[in-house]
Amino acid sequence: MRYFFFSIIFLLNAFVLMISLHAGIFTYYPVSVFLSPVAPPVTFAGSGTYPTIIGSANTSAVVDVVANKALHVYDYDVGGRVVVLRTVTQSLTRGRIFSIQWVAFVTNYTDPSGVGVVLQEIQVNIGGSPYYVSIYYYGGNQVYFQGPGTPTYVYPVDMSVARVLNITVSRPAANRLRISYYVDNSLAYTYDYSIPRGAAVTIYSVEGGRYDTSNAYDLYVDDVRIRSVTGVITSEDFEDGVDDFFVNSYSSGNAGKVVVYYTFPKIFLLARNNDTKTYACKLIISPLTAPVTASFYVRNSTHTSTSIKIKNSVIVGETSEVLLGGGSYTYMYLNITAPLTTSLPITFNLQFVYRVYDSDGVTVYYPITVEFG
Amino acid sequence: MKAERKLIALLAVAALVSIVNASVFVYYPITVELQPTQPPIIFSKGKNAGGQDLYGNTIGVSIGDANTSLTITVHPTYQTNYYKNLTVINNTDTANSYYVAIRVNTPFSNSKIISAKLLIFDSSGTNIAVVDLLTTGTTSWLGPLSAGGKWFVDINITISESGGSPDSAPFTSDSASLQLIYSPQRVESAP
Repeated sequence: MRYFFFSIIFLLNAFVLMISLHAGIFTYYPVSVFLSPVAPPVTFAGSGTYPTIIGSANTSAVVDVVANKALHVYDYDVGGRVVVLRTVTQSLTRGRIFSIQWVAFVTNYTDPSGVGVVLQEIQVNIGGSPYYVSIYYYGGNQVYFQGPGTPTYVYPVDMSVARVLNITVSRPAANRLRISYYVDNSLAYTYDYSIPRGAAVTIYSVEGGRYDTSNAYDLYVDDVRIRSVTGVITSEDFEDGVDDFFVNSYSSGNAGKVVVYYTFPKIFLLARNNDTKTYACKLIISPLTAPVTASFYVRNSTHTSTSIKIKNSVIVGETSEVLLGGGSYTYMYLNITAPLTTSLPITFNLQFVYRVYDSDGVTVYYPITVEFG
Repeated sequence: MKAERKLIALLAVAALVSIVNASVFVYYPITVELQPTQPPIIFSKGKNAGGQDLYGNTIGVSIGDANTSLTITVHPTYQTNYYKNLTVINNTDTANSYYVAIRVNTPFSNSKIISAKLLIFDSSGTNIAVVDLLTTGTTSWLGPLSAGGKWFVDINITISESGGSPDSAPFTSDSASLQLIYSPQRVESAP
């Protein structure tokens, strides 16, 4: 009993000693944090492309993107091919005009053999022989006008966005064809081609894609408009989900055509720098799982960022940065496609992020919601 | 005559009581000796202290003469503003580690502030603490901050856009008062 009593006393003493050794030393330093807020140096503005609700301080946005439908022409097979084609067979006599027009955008382009892809083409039979009046794309920011009797004409144009292409073939004289190429409703190139005076000229077909294999691409086509030699207009916007225009198409391998939900790359939001300082800005996106392919990117007057990439889930979650100089604008682009079986709407939660250039001291995040559908 | 006797008796009793209770005072000598040392934990400026804030302002980080007090001034705008590497908590004691706590005595009070956090990271980038600057309270002991070690302090402020204007600041100013507390032990909480 006495031994137990002394043990307890010893433990108590040890505990008190331990407390006295380690406890009781607390040092306090004062810390103050002051906030002195400022007006937002960067503010949003609607693009006018889509209905947009901007927050009261112009630092948030909700963008309602209409789910347009378009024709997706795809060739994912370097041994395969796809040609979308409509046979028209119309006689082009003196004084008649024939034209074809549609919106085209090509992306994911791979072409190791340099065969190109036809964005738009008319097959014209002259005296029984076929000739092709074409707009080709071989990558980069230019298109190539090819036609009978003239060297290829290279036309520089930013191909990171969709272009309205038009080829018009007319016969102003019995011995002459006039071939004109338009981009975004502006005449890009025209020339006259001499033909035998009595030659029969037939507009045989209009087409896109590529008969040659060895390349791969996604080509999106919309708002097709054909003007017959008699002036009859036929159009196709694919909004009924069916391609009633390119009815003579053919394909092989992993290539084909399908109507899909699609938005051509367009500006969906603007950001203005109200400051004199330069900021670096980018977009980031929250995780997402949906049967959708999409990209988002940012451009200033000279540079385009890398893209956020989504293919059923987020593959690349943020863009690279572009600079936003004092008093200047940056433009936010989107490009979304989904199968017609997709349940809409799909919500993309993005953030516009900016920081003082050359510093990571402060980074500001503005929320953006994009509703597709 | 009887009344006089009673009065004398009462006075005598009162005098006796005062003599018994007042006369004992015992004095023991106690010596409190102070031997101040240099502060083992000090603040230093982070990489972005004095750097550019929004609209040409400066990220203000002011440290007291002995590096034992800290004042941070930032200039956020609407939405989320993340301030990185503002200040560093240094353990200059190369032999001993210390436990650290953060106490919020006076939180931010402006209703436009949706969220205000002070974040602490170690030198590997691992988050040590997220301190809510909208409520009073003291964190549990953090660390320890190892001998010679450093921690880095960020601040994340989110301000509501509701009712705001692109031409004006969300509000004029606000402040929070905190304490950094440290101790060589974590057996008991800081008083």
